[in-house]
Amino acid sequence: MKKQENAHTKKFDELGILIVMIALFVFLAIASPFFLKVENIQNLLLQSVFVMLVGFGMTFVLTIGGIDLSVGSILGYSGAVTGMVIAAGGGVFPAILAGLGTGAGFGIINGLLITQLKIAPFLVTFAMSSVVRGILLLSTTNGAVSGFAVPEFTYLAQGYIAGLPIPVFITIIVFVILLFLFKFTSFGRNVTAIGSNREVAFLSGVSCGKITVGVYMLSGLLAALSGVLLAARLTAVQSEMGSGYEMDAIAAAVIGGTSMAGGKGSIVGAIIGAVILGMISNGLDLLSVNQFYRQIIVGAIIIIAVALERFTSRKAQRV
Amino acid sequence: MKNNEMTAPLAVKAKKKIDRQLLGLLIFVIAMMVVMSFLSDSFLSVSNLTNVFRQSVFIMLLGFGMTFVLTTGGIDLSVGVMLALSGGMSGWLLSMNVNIVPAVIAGVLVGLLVGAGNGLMITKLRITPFIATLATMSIGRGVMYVWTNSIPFRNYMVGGFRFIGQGDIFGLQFPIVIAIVAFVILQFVYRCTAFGRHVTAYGSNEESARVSGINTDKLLIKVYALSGLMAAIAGITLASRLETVHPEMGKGYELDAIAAAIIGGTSLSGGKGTLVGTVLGAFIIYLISNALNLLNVDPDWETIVKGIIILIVVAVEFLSHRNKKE
Repeated sequence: MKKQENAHTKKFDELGILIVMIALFVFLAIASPFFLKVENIQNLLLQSVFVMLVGFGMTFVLTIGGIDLSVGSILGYSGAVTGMVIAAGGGVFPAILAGLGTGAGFGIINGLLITQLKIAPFLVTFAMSSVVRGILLLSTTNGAVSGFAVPEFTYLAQGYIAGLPIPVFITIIVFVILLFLFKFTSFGRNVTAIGSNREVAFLSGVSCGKITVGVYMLSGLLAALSGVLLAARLTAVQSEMGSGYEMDAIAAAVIGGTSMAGGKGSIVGAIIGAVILGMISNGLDLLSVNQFYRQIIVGAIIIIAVALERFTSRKAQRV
Repeated sequence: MKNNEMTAPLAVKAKKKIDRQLLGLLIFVIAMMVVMSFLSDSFLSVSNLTNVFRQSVFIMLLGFGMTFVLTTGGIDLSVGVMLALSGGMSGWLLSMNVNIVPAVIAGVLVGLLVGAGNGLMITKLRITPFIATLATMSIGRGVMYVWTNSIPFRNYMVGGFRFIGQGDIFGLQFPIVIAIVAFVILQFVYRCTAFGRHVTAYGSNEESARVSGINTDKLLIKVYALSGLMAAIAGITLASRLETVHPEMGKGYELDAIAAAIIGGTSLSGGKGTLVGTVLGAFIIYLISNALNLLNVDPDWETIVKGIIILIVVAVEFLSHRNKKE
């Protein structure tokens, strides 16, 4: 019964949101002569991938019925760790590993606190976001982390492969891996199963604890990847880097048809959601509207998307 | 009748547990005072402690509203933004030479309306409180930036308005008086009115509250409007105290307000709350930052310490529950 309903609404969600994206695209193409320029499209993709990567992780977390509010802080601190290791002469490759490890580590702590102490996910990650932001503030007391812009590292964000900016290229690879993980592995199926009905999943022998920790680790890891790429792009890490990304990531996932109540997620949807968010800020820029309207629009979109999802799933239940 | 008999022992048990927690908090405060009196000369003075109390008033007011919201099993992440919007509205109107009374009323109305809007989203659109208020938080902060154009409101101080945040009554600073009055009224509402009992009933068991004939939608809208009202009072007082309204005003206060309530013993899962605990919780949060400050600890540690304290308190609550069950 539940499965049928999911399949039914999922198709509708992705198609509907795809139409919204295309409509927005056409509108911007008509409204601004600069929108369709190759540089602008490249720029738009580049701006979207940072939120997109975090949104992928958020899709997993939301699907399992949780939430991760610490991704913004983890993103900032992981970028800072990578920067600090390079600045200290640790080499680019170990530095990136250190950054990714930091993110995965905080993700594991989130997962363990949630599963072992049974604290609500939003509270754990809310507190964690405050703790990690505090650590980042401490490491930037003497100004932003900088001095790590060696060419090998900045190439990560500023180079191109086959006409695509490298972060976009990396995101595509990550997407393919995650899509496979989500759709075709037992891990992905278990995530959906736990999100749909934890009790049933547990009774069918799914090790809920391990899967949950894995999901939060993945979320931390993806936030860290985004942070490392963002650090390479910005060439300095401010104490506020990544703040507010949790909102955008949730918005990207929810716009893409991932349910806040768990049990239903779409990685493809997260891409569309992130691109829509990117187009909104790109469009505001091109039409020279104040960027602060973005926050208002994002909030409104979340409400509309969640309410629509509620409405359609309620309707499906009645039928 | 039967229902009453069954819930009575439970209520007594919950009350006992809260009392124990309050006792624990008091012991914590006293222990901290003793330790700090050795480490710092200026900590244990009336002026320092009054100062700490005055600083904690704003979080306390937000925490009162939050206590009601948490008791229903919900959460309100938009209190910081409602505080800024209300303070901003009063300041903005005053700077346009509007009389102080309509300016303050307009500020209060902003909080009430935004809060009621949260309630409407939660009840009519069936969006979870967490997401609804998170979205309000994002929208409201955006509105603050657009409205102020990133330039803080200032030059709105008039004599009467100054009194709200900086005046004295019988030697007590007016913000403290506001907090005391709010506490007395809300304590009465929480413990002695049908509304307060309905809030607790709804938080303990949503379904049975609905079946017993409580209009739950109306109840929730009122609770979120109350949270908005408290945020508005805090915002107007803060606007008067700071003499400027920054677009970032109140950012992060929601975390402190939640922390104050749950440190005091209000349960995050609903059905159990205490305003006395919230007073103590808010006081403790500022006592800790005051102590860190006097010991010359980097202020950035505050966020870390606060986050860890919240986790510890919630974990302790969970563990004590589990022990009882076993």
